[in-house]
Amino acid sequence: MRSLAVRAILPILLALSPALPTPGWAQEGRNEQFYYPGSFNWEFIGTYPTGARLFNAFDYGHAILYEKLYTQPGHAQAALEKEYRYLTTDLLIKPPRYAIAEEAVMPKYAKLAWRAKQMFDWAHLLHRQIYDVYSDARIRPAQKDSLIERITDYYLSRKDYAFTPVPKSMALMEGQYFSRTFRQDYPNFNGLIWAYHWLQVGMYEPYIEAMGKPEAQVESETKAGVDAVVGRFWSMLEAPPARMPRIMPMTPSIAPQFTAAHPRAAAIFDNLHMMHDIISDILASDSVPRNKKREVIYANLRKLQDSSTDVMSQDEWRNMATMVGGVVVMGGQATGRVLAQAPLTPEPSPEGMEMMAKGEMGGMEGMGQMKAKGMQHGGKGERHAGQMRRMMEMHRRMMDDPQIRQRVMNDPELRRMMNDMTKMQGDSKAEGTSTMEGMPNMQGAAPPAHEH
Amino acid sequence: MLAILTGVAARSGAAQIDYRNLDDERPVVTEDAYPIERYAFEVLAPYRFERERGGNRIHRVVPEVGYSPFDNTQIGLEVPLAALDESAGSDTRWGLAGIGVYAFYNLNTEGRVLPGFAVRAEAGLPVGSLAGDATRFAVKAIATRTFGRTRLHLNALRGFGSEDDIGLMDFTPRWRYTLAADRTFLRQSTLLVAELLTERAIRGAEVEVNAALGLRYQWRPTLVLDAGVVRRLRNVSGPDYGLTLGLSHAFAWRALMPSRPR
Repeated sequence: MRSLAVRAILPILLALSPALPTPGWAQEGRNEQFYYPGSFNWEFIGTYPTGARLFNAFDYGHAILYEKLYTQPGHAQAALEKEYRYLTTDLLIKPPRYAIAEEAVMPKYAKLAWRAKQMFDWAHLLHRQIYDVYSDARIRPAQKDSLIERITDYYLSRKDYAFTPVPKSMALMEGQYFSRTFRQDYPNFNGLIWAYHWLQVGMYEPYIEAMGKPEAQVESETKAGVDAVVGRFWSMLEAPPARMPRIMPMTPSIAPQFTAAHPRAAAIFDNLHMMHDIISDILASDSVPRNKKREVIYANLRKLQDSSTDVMSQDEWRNMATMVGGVVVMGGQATGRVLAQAPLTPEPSPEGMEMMAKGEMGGMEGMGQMKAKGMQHGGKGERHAGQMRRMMEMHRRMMDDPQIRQRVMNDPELRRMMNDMTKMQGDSKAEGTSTMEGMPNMQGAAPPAHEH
Repeated sequence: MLAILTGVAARSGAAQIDYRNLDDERPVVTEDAYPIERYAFEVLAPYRFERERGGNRIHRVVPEVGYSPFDNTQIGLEVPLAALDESAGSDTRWGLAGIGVYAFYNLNTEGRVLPGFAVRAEAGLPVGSLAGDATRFAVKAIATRTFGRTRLHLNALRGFGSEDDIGLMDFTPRWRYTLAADRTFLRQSTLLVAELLTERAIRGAEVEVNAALGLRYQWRPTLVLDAGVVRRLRNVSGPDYGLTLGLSHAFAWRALMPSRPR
C-alpha cells in the first residue's frame, strides 16, 4: 500500500507542472511575514475609507500594468488603454473594500519576479501602517512619530526584502539603457502611476499639518486636508496627461514635513517608487530580452537595497525638484493650502533631466558627487536661485507659526535641517541673496522632549 | 468563540487577503500550499454538521490555533469536540475526539514551471471519550497552481498507525486524495471553491467519494468567514449531506517579533 501511495502521489503532484525545472528557473521561497502588530492597524480604512480604498485600486493598477507588459511584449498598447479606462472610469471611482490579491491579477509576473512582488508588498505595508498611525486619534503626536520610527525599524529588520532608507541616485531610474521606455510608450498610464505615487506620499501632509492645530480642530482639519489631496489627485486625471506629474513625485518635494519627520521612511518610499518605474521600463523595453528580464529586475532590486553605492546626499535629494523645474512638475506640494485643481504641468527642465540621467545629483559609481550645476551658475542657476528663495520664504512663513516652531524644536531632524538652512542663510548673506531674515537659530534650542 | 474572535480583532489584524488562504477543512478538506505569514497566529473556530448514510448525525467544533515561527512554516494544535446522535435513538454522546498536532512546510512559491509545493505531517492523539486508543499519523503532500484568478490544488494524504482501535469520528483516514479549484472575486474579497474527494477510512472500508462547494469571504480586515456544503457521490459511504461554517482570525504578538535586522 505504501508503494502504491508513493506511486500515486508523485505523478499527481507533477502532473500540475508541465516540465521539470531547469537551473535558470530556480524556485523561490514564498517568505511572507506578518506586519507590525498594534491597535493602530486598520484605523485609516476605518476613518477615511474613501481615501484608503483608493490604494486598493492603485494596487490593481500596478499589478495589471506589469502583467500586461510582461505577457504582451511590444503590443500591450490596446490592453493598457482598456485597463486605463477601467481604472479611471470604474475601479478608482468604486474601489474594492479591501486589498486586492495581486497574485490573481498578475500571476505570470508574480511567477517571474516573486521577490520583487514581495519587496513591493512589504513597502506598501509600511505605507499603510503609517497612514494607520496618523489616523489613530488615540495616539499623541509625539508618540506617533516614535511609533512610525519603530514600524520603520521593523520594516528594515527584514533585510532581504527592505529597500534601503538612503536616497538612491536618480540615474538608476533615468540613466540605464532601458530607462524611460515605459513613459515614452505609455504616457497616460505612466502619468496615472505617478499620480498614484503623488497621493501615496502626499497623503501624509494633511495629517502632520492638522497635528499642529488646536485639539478640537484636528479631526476636521485632517478630513479637510485629506479631502483636498484626494481632490487634487482626481484633478490630475483630467485631460491626461496635461495635469499629471511629468517627473516621478519625490517625497521631500511633495511631502516636506513628512520627510523632515521621517527621512528614512521617505527615502524608502522614493526607492520603492523608483523601482516601480525601473521595472516598468525593463518590462516595456525591447532592449531587455525576455529571458533576461528577471535577471535585470533582480539586479536592480539589489541596487535599491544597497546603501553604499549609487546614493545621493540628503541635500541633493531634498533639492531634486529645484533641479528639474520646480515641484510643480512632480504634481505640486501636498503641503499648505492644496488647490483642488491641479494646474497644467509644465515640461521638466531638459538640463535637469539630463543631469538626473547622468546621476549628477547623486553618486553613480565613477561619476563622483557633483553638486547641482543648475543651482550655481548662469541663467538656469538664477532661475533655480529664485525657486530657492521662494522655498526659503515659505519656510520663514511656516516658522512664524508658534506651533510649527515648537514642533521643529522638538524634532531633532527638523532642528538639524533648520540649522542647515540658517547656515545657508549665512552663505547667502555673503552673496547678498539672503531671504532668511528672522529665521530662528536652533543651535541653542532646548533639547527635544522626545527623541526617536 | 465569535465574541472572543471579534474582541481580538479590534486590537490586531491580519492581511486583507486571508480569504484566499485555504485552510484544512475551511470550508473544504483541501488546503493550499501556503502557510500563514511568519510570526502570525491564526485562530479558527469552525463548526461542522454531517448526516451520515444510515442516519447518524455528527456535530463537530474544532478550535484550532496555528503559528508560524519560521519562514514558510506553520505548526498548530487542534482540539476537536464532537457530539454524535446515533440513528437508533440512543442518547447523544459527546466529548473530546482526540487532540491533533501538525507541522506544515511550504517548499517553494509558484514559479514559471513548478507549482507551489508543501508537506504537512500530523498526529492524532488518543485523548477524550470519543477518541480511539491509538495514535494515528499522516503525511500530506500539497500542490497549488495559479491560472489567473483560478487556482488548482491537489492534496494527497497517507495515514499510518493502528487501524484497530480508532475513534468514532475525526480520525485520520488510511488515504485520501482531493482535487479542488477555486476562483477569486477581487472586488468582493471572496473565494469560491469546489472540491472532489476520495478516501478510504481503514483497510477494507468502502471508498468514499464526495463533492463539496465552499466560500470564503473577507468580512473585516482581520476576519474571514467561510461556509460550505458536502455530499457523497457513492451510495455506500459518506455523508448524505454536511454543512460547515467557520470564522478565522490572524494576529501577532509584538513580543515575538524582531525589531533589528536579521
